[in-house]
Amino acid sequence: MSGEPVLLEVEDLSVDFELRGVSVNAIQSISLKVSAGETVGIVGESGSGKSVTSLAIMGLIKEPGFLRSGAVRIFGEDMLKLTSRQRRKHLGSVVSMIFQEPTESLNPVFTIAQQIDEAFKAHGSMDRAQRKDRVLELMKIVGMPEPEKVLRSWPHQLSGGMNQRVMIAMAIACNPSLLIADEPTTAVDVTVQQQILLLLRRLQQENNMGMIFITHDLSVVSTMADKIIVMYAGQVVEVCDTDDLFQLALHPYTEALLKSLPENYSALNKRMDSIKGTQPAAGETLPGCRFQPRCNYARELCSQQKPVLNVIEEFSPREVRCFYPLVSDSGTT
Amino acid sequence: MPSLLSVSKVSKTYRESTGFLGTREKEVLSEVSFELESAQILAVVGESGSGKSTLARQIVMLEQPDSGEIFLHGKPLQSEATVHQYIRMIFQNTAASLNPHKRIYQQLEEPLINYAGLSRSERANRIRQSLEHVGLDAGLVSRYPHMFSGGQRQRITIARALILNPEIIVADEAVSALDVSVQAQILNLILDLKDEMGMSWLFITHDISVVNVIADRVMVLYAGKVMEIGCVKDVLENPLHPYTRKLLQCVPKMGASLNMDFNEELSSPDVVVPSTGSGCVYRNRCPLADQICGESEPPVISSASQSVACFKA
Repeated sequence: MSGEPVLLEVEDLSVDFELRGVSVNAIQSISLKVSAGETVGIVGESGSGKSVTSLAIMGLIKEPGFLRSGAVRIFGEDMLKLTSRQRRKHLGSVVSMIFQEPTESLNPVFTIAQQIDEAFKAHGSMDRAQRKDRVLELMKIVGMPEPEKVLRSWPHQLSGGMNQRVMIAMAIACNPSLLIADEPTTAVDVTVQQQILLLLRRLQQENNMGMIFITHDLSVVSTMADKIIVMYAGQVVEVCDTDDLFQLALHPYTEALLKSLPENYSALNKRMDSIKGTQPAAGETLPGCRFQPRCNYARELCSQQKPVLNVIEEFSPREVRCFYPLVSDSGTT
Repeated sequence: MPSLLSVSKVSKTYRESTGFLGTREKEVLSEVSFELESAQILAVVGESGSGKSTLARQIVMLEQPDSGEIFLHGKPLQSEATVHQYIRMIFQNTAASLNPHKRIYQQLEEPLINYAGLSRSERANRIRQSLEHVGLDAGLVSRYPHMFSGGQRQRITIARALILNPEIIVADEAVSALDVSVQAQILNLILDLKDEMGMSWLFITHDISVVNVIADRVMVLYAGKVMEIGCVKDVLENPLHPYTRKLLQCVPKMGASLNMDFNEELSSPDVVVPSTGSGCVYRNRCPLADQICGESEPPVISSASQSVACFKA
């Protein structure tokens, strides 16, 4: 989205985990930008580093994990250089996050009202009555039926979809500029998913929020994101505009991922193209490309040298980490 | 000839706590009837709370239905021991359905010891065959479950389900927790097993795009009642029940933008609970509902390959 101010700038972010004295790379030099009103989708399979990326942006990487390099700038201010007290002021009011398992993310021994109120206690200067009004207002914003009754309830009395609405209400309580949604609809039914996606989209439009939408589901991300980042084994392998990605995947992994979606197969009893093998285990290092052992197009060079993320001129501004991107002439061999 | 599995008017009610000392009865399955033929995959779809897993538990006899009967080859299901030889079940959470303290070999051997009465070397043979069927290296049997990936563990639970040569496998969200690339591998495996061994599957899922790939027939459940059942092609291309249409409409399509003028209030299952009392259970979410839908049970309208319970179909 041109013209909108850049909210978030992540530069060369790397996170390692130290396991039994050995340092294991979880994400390697991730860079991304999010503007106001823009949605950036991060897709990848489990273990690809999606969630570590979001936790690192929030400054929530804990032992045994540590930041090896990188900067996370929100409105130009480096979040990673702040003290934890300063960062706490930003969390919630500038950048906020919702998680996959709403029921597990809520505290079972507090009522919904108490938990939403906590966000205001931490940030605002409102008195009790003002906070109470605002909590009720939030419940209405997220489309909660019978808001007064829900506010008196405990998380276990609500369904997964309702709890996710509560989580969203907490996340947007202090009008954050940036919302990170980590698999927000993975644990709910398709019908509820549709509602949650609609709700997020509406809130985003109303507040011109920037959003990072993390998911393993390419269909979901395609309906939400303006730009998509595909991750594999801790690296970004392809970055491009959403519409372009579904026209033509340039990285072999992206292509394989699209081919293993069931919705692309309509003929009954036809076998699907699956990706052979599994992702390299954490700590496993390869001399060449991380996807090479599973790649159908791999050549000699791929097992010897590490590819870098390159801008492909003819498909600019698309970036691909591959020696032989699947542009029509070289990809088919 | 009788069907392989015939489920006739099965109902199940659970007691639900309503607070201190209070209980309330909740009907989770209501007169569910369907047939499963050999070498067929029947998908069961519906939102959470629709009774999919309760239905599975009745079929593998983990629970007894309150009313109705289940027939295998025309004979009523009786003892658990016979059921366990003919009908096996696999689950979504592979880490929880394998015992973390036992080696894979012991876990695969257990059903053979309990039900097959084979010698030690025959058992070893069967375990090797079973692992080969699911595409796993038989040399890995002395490992523990945590040493495998999620996809490999699901292969192991399928191998364990296959080991008694059952006729039916009930799979409860068996691929839902897997990554798409691994999911494709397991779906291919299920289709291979159906073709090679003539095995039938009751495939419970919430993911309709998977149904399209794998199933021959599909049954749509809502609040414990069958809304629509029929050939996959007919039901997905020409859904007759408003609920089936709603489900299909909510499946995100790749590359399509979000449909923003969707009627938010009517379609929210977390907002609207199923109707109770007489009449159609779906009526308070249904855009077509009118007076008649609240008065009596909708009739089941059947054609050769599809049947639907709706006044408006």
